Amino acid sequence: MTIHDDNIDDLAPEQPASDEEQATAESFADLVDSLLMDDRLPDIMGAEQRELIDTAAIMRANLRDHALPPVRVNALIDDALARAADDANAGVSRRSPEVANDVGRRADVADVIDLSARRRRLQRLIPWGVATFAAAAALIFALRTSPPAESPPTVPDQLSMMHRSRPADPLIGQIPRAEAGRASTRLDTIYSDRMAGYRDLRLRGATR
Amino acid sequence: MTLFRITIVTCVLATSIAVLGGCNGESSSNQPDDDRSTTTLPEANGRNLPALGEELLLALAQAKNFHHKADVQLKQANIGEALASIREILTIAFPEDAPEAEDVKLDARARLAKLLNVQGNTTEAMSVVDTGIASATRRSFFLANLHTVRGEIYEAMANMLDDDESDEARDKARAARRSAIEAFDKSIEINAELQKALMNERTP
Repeated sequence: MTIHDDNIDDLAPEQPASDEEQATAESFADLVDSLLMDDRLPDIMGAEQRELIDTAAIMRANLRDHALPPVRVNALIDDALARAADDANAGVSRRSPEVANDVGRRADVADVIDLSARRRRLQRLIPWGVATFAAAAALIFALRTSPPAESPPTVPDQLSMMHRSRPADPLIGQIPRAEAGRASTRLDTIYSDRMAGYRDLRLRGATR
Repeated sequence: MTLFRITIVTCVLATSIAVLGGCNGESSSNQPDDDRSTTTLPEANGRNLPALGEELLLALAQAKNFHHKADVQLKQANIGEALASIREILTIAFPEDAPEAEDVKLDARARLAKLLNVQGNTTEAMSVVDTGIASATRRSFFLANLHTVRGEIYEAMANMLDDDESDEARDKARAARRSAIEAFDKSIEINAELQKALMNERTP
């Protein structure tokens, strides 16, 4: 005999249940109790029992009111606000046992409240973080020693006279009358001097 | 609201300190600029002297070659070709603002004028010298040398006039010798001035 028999009405109610039927009823009653208490159901169940438990769960869900009582909703909100306001005990849960039970059952609601509380806590910390960062930056700017002035390039900002085109008077000096026509010799001297200056300039990396 | 005010005040203070710090850094980095006047390059005739460059070296090398070419031509007694080679120096394009250009060209004129003078072409020699003196932009030993050559040309003119025994020629010779003396004096004056300037530069 199965519970799902179509002719269940044909059973004679006046007949006492057999021991086997009694044991089956007790076992099913235990399962229903576990379901109502939100306890863990056994992993292994018979197909009939599984079917009966599913049916009982559906019936329970249909009969139950999902909305939390206003008292408990207020308690949840009060608890979240209290935790957000208390910085010192930020990590400590202050849930009352009564509320904790509901929070446990409504984990999603608690998570949302936790997130908003955490966000509010962060928002309170942001100004302090910005102020600390600004103060640190100001200290760094104020205390840092100015970098040593880069040594000015020797060329071309500080050209010595030998690197410049200039009158040849200091190089040639006074021209004796006897050598008035020896321009070729003087030009050789000028050219050698200017070439030396130009080579030195190039070796120093000057481009102009 | 209090936190917001604290943040604002802190940021303002931080910005002020940072600006002050930045200003200090800038002033310290500007320090060497104040000393730059000690390394200011000297100027010639109110302009900065340009750096030596390839253009100037090429022009100098070209002038040098023309002088050496003239040396060889003179050794072969080709005075006309030597004169032409030296004249080429006067047409060389030197970089603008290169003081060497004037020195080299004045010296080339001096050599050219001496050669012309030796040839007896005193008129052209004097023209070469006078053109050079007129073109000079500053007093230099090369300008003084050109005045010396000018004196030599006047001296040669006077010597040539000595062959003529006429009174007119004698007067012209006397005038030429006076001009020669004036030219030598001018040369001496320029040389003395430059020597003095150079001495002052070397003994600060």
